[in-house]
Amino acid sequence: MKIEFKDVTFQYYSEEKPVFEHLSFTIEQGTTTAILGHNGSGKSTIAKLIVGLLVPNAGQILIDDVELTEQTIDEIRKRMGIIFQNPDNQFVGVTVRDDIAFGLENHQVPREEMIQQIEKYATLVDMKDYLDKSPEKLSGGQKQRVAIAGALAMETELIIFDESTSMLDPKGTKEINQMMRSLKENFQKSIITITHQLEEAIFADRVMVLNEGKIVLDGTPQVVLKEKDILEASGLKLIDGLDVLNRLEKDDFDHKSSIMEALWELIFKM
Amino acid sequence: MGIDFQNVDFKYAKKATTKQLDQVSFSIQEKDEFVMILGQTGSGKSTMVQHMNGLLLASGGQVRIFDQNIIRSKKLKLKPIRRHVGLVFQFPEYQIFESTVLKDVMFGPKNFGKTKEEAEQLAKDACQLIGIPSDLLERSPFNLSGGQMRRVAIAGSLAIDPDILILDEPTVGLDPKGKDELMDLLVDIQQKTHKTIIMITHDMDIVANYAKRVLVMNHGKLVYDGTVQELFENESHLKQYNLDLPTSALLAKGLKEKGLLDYQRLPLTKSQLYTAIVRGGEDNE
Ligand SMILES: Nc1ncnc2c1ncn2[C@@H]1O[C@H](COP(=O)(O)OP(=O)(O)O)[C@@H](O)[C@H]1O
Ligand SMILES: Nc1ncnc2c1ncn2[C@@H]1O[C@H](COP(=O)(O)OP(=O)(O)O)[C@@H](O)[C@H]1O
Ligand SMILES: [Mg+2]
Ligand SMILES: [Mg+2]
Repeated sequence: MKIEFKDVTFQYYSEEKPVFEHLSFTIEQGTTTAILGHNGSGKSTIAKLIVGLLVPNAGQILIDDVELTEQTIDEIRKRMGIIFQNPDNQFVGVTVRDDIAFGLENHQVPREEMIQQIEKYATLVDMKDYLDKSPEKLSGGQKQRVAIAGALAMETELIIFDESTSMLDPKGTKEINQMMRSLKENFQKSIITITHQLEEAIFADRVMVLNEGKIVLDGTPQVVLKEKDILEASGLKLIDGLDVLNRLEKDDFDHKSSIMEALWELIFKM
Repeated sequence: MGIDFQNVDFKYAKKATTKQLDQVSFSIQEKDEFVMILGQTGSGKSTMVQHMNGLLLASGGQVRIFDQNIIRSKKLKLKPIRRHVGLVFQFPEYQIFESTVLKDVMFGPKNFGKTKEEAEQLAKDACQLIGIPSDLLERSPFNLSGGQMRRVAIAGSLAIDPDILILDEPTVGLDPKGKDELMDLLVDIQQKTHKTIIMITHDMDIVANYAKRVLVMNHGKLVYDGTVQELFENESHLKQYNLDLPTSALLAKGLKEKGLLDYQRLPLTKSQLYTAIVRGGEDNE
């Protein structure tokens, strides 16, 4: 799914200033993009604009070259899934099965096919044994995986993760990060991951950094994550390893080039 | 002694076969300590700290708080205990309800019988301590950023001026800058006021950078009470307790495996990693 922002301006009614003005960018079909920014920088606002929960004050948003409008939004929204920050906000059903089914019912998928889809994607996110359990009883990471299964079952072309790990413990965070990586590798989906954790941007094809309503950095993780000064000025913090790499660059020591190379490799595999 | 647990047992359900606290024993001084409690989700950390201010009562063993026995009895008075030990819950900002920041922070001291003037002074002091600028005091707490709201909630507990402050996962959900700022403030408060601070965390980089003493919970048992360095050096324990290494330690180990780094002590923080690398592992003390 290709997403295009053209000169988008957006302001909340209650606020004095727009969140951004004349924001433009294009996200190509089938890519994984990380949007980084501190709390309040406008990341969720972008996500909500993409899924049509908010409407720009000016400018256009195009999805596969079709402009998002009142007429087109319903069809387009069916092709997108979003996983929110708080795992408790995702649920409506009595059982995990109901929850995965919920979206499918909305899409009027025939019953037989629905049962198959649910099994298939519950297995994929490793939640098959929980289908008849109540979602309330699950851990945060498990809840998020069920939400992912729901989006996958609808075969959406785009999945947006809006800080989906920030309320999870390290185990849950790992589960979801692995899930994102596997989605990227095994499915031809477009993924947008919204986060303030640099660790979670490292596997993306592209990283965009948002600050004060502007995209201040845009490129591959290898390039963007080295920009210590801009990242810090944008309220972000370098991962410990990257910070060390930065400091080491100015020093002279034995085996410098092999150590630097090995560190990069280790950081990217973390 | 500030907090003293001897063979403490606890079960949420009387009939349950597993205990959520199982023979837990330790003590924490009434001042000058900075203790971090680790352990995977469900290991009993929150249950344990709720015993530290009488919110939960042990089913077996003995809990003493400032030399008072905390047992189920009509005579047990919880207010004096909570003057000694303040507990800040997880996501405390969900419990903010007053119309201004100042009023919200004043709620605690007023509840403990302070006059309006006294409560206001205590609240202002607490806000200053936790880094809430005075121009925010008359604002609605609900329009603040997540990090600011978290601080308002913590100020509410500080305003009671407890000797010991306990925080249950205070950095979760904050952005990295917010985390660092909050940790620096806690260290600062600890040094200025000599209060004992106890916090629960899952963030091993925070543990590596800030902890002095660490308690580890596993399946309701206290399985470790000691220094950070010793904890992270013992890999089989870490596996057993489902704990990760700090980022810098992971990188150091990776470099060592590739034969690119050697060290006597595992580097835990980024400055230790940096030093180990530039010195080629020699002489890192
Ligand atoms: N419903 C809303 N009404 C008014 N202001 C809002 C609303 N939601 C967000 N904002 C403001 O818009 C800005 C961007 O918010 P958001 O997109 O949620 O940021 P992020 O997701 O990066 O934390 C912030 O200043 C925030 O306070
Ligand atoms: N109010 C409660 N009622 C019943 N069981 C509970 C309650 N709170 C926690 N538990 C259980 O007690 C155990 C320890 O939980 P908790 O102390 O919250 O762990 P932690 O804070 O380490 O994640 C878990 O198995 C949890 O499910
Ligand atoms: Mg957001
Ligand atoms: Mg807990």
